[in-house]
Amino acid sequence: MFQQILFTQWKSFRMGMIPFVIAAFALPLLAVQGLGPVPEGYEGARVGLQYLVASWQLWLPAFPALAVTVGATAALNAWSWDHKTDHIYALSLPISRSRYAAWKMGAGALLVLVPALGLLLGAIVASVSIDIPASVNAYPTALAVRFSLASLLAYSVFFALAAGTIRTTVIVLSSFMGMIILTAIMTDYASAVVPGFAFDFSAWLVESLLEWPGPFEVFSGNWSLIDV
Amino acid sequence: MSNAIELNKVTYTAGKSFQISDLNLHVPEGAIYGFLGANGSGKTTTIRLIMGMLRAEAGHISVLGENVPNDMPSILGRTGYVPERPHLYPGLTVGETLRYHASFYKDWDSEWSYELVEALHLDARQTVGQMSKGEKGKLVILLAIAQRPELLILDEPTDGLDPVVRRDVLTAVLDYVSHTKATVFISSHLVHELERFCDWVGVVDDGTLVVELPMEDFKSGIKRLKVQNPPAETDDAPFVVLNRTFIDRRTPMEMWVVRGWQDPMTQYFERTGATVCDVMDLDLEEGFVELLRSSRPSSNGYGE
Repeated sequence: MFQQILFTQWKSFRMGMIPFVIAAFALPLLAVQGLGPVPEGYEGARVGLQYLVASWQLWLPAFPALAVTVGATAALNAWSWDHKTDHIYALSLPISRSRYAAWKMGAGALLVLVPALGLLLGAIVASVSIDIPASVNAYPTALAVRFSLASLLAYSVFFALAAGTIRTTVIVLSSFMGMIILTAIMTDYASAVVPGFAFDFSAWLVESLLEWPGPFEVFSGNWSLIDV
Repeated sequence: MSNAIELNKVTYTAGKSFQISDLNLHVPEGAIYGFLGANGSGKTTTIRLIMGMLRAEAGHISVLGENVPNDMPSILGRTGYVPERPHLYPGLTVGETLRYHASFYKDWDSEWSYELVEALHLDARQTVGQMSKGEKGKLVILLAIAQRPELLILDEPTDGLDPVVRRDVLTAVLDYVSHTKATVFISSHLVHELERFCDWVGVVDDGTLVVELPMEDFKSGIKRLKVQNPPAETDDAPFVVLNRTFIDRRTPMEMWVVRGWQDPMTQYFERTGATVCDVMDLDLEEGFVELLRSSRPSSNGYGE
């Protein structure tokens, strides 16, 4: 049964996956493409590392962005055929809803790992194609693992959102956004009128979500291919 | 005889304007039960309640002796379902669809399913998204019967199909039923189609069951009577008057449509001073129309 669910999702996602696999493979290569040998005067390990890291930083946002795109697309794809059939087919199958959703999620999660595999290969090729200063190492596996985790996290969030009807998704998202905006306005107002009260809700929210132990820390963590 | 499907006082509200209220339905085991109703009368909603796709607000539903919705996976494993519109995954081929579907059913008859592919003139390599409506209709019937279900629930399975495909689909269902004695619950507004093979009939209108009885009783019990000097009141009549229409006000002569008619009931008219001039049979479609007409709140019993 799982095998068939996996096959079905593979068949619906395979063409859409190709650009992601290519992008995931190419991204580390593009990121190191302009580096070449460490320029004269930058040979020292410490300076060389700074040079490499600075160059990598330019490409850094592309990695989590690609992970989110891969995860979101895989999640939307996982439900797309069910949405097209108003879930009637899925609901007529002799399997509990929770089990069906779990297997569907598992199948999609496996497919998300394919672009991650592309990124691993790209990162390995990228690491051997540049001169890395002594005492500095390339971490292609760590980068690929981070990419996998970020993709899976994005996949999970979007899978849950996409499981419901469009109406449900809009209600959940707009309620969430509404709460954030309302709280931000209220704290700003309180900061303005209450003496001694200073609280930046937006900054707190971003920090809570994206910094350890926030649930989305994986997106803002260390995306370096080359590090000490 | 036990019932394959049983609904007791089931209530469900869909939006602001439609409600199924206190619906009672009893589909005997082994019956071919025609579920008739006009468009929007609640047939599909009732079927979705039976299939556990919608949750009833009140009442009790049991299918094959099991409870809906608690025992749904088990019930669905014994039930073949053909929805109102084909619901197949568009990117799979016929062969892939069969394999996908088969993986959910322990009694799936793979060999027979491919025999049915041949018999229904389907191409196992064809993609579902490229199939015609008729081909999709045949495929969903195939999927429903190749799992060898004890119960077939068919929601307007031939709606929109051409006569050849319609015959293929119904033949496939009847072949299966004749070999297995499975129960069939088939909804349709194509009344004449059900007349040929259903042995039970239920008529629903505006979410309410109007009548439920064996087909023979339905066909033989609904009559059109030409009545001379008809009584004004019919409260004590041994049958149900569905409709009365003046033919001639001078004579006076009326045309009645009655349900539950038996020949000895002419005595009722003799007692009231009326005369039955003629008793005419109605086919299922005419009976169905009269039933619906009489069940609607605007009906006052007198047609013009």
